[in-house]
Amino acid sequence: MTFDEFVGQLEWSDSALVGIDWQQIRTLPLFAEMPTLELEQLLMSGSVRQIYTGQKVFRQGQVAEEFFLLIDGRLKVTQTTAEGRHILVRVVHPGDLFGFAPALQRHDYPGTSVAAAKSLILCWPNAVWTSMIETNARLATNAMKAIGQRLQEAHARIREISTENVERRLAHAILRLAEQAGQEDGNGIRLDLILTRLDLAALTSTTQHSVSRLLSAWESQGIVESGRQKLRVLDKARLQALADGQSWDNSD
Amino acid sequence: MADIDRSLVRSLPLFANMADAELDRLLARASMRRVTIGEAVFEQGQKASQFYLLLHGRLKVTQVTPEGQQIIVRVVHPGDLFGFAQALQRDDYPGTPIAAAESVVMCWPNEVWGNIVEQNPHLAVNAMRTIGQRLQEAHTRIREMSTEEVERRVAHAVLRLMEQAGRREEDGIHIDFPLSRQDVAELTGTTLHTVSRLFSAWESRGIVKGGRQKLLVRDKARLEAMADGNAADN
Repeated sequence: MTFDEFVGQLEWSDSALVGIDWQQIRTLPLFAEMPTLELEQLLMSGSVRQIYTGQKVFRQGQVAEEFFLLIDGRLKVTQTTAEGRHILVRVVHPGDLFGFAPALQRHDYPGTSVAAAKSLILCWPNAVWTSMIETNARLATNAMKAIGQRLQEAHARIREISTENVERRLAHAILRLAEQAGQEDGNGIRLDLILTRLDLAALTSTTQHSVSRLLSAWESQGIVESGRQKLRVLDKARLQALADGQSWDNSD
Repeated sequence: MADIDRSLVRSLPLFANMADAELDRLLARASMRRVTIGEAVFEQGQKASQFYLLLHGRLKVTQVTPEGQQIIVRVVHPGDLFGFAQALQRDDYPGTPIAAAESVVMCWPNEVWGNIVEQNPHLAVNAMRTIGQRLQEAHTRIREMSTEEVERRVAHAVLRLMEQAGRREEDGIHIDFPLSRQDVAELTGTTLHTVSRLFSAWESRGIVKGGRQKLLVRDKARLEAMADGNAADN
């Protein structure tokens, strides 16, 4: 069976798969410069799953048997501490790998992944991944880069928690989300993410109360527009200035 | 340049499953450098042209914010990769690694590393794992900073260092490189004052023993209880 036949068959057999842009998947950075044949083999050995908002892909502590690629939608990865406190480890964007426990040399998933929007994921059994990656240096290098980028983000977050006040941290977090998931639409940047204020608090190591207070203040200054689970950046330059720790108060 | 002996690195996880011939090829393109205490291997912001491996010693990687505040991003232990800016898809080094002890580093020009990795999926997989471990550590630290009181965070950081760089001595486990209280503050997102206050309290309870740039863990069980948030005060 050729790849195209495989794709054709998928689309006939499962309505969830209609509309998957396989050509676009082939252009993801993860698959950059991979020989066509091997890439098609990899895609054919995975399976596609549709995840509804609020549904979990895997749970923290569950034995890791598969790893995943987000094709479409948005996921949140959360961790719960022994005392029951939550933090938002990361937001997964289309094209991102997640649940790559074997790459971290662990047998269980370190967090729980929940769909923040209706999502499509591609998943592979770990064994497939191991054999693919060990014979395909391109894929291994690309995966290393993907994990390296997560590491950079984590270090930025450590730096921000260590040295910045809540206002700057929240401004940085929103700017990062705007970069990764924002859509410009003539009236600022719309964050088509389903992040609650509690999520934003978990992402910036603060309380929901502080997030609400800051968003209200920013809203009254025309920097953002926020509603329940909605966020729009109206003035990116001023938000950037806040993130940089510059005061923008021209209240004269 | 003298050839680098394979036996120096053969046992490192990074080179697991690599054929001797391949490893020799990689070593043939590497250079070695000694770094004395306090010396920087490279500087934050400097153009990243090389990829590094710590063979011996200990490094602290610091980052300075535009406002001049410093944090320690990580401690580099023997066998760890560092300066892998290329893998992070950036052109400059994000931090400055400074020798905390006499150290020996091995390095490769980026393009050499790229070429060899291309032909050696095992090396790429191993490198991915080591970067993955860094990622796990970073997430642990974020979780601790987000949810734990300073005392627990500091206890966790000391336990981690003990695990990675501890040497058993008669009266406890000695952290085997010079570690100042300021370093611990920069590792845990707190102040020198707080770390000093905590260490003094722990010392008076016989949990640790500190000196200038020295740290000895005398009662690991109680330090663990503290890290877990259990009061160990009887």
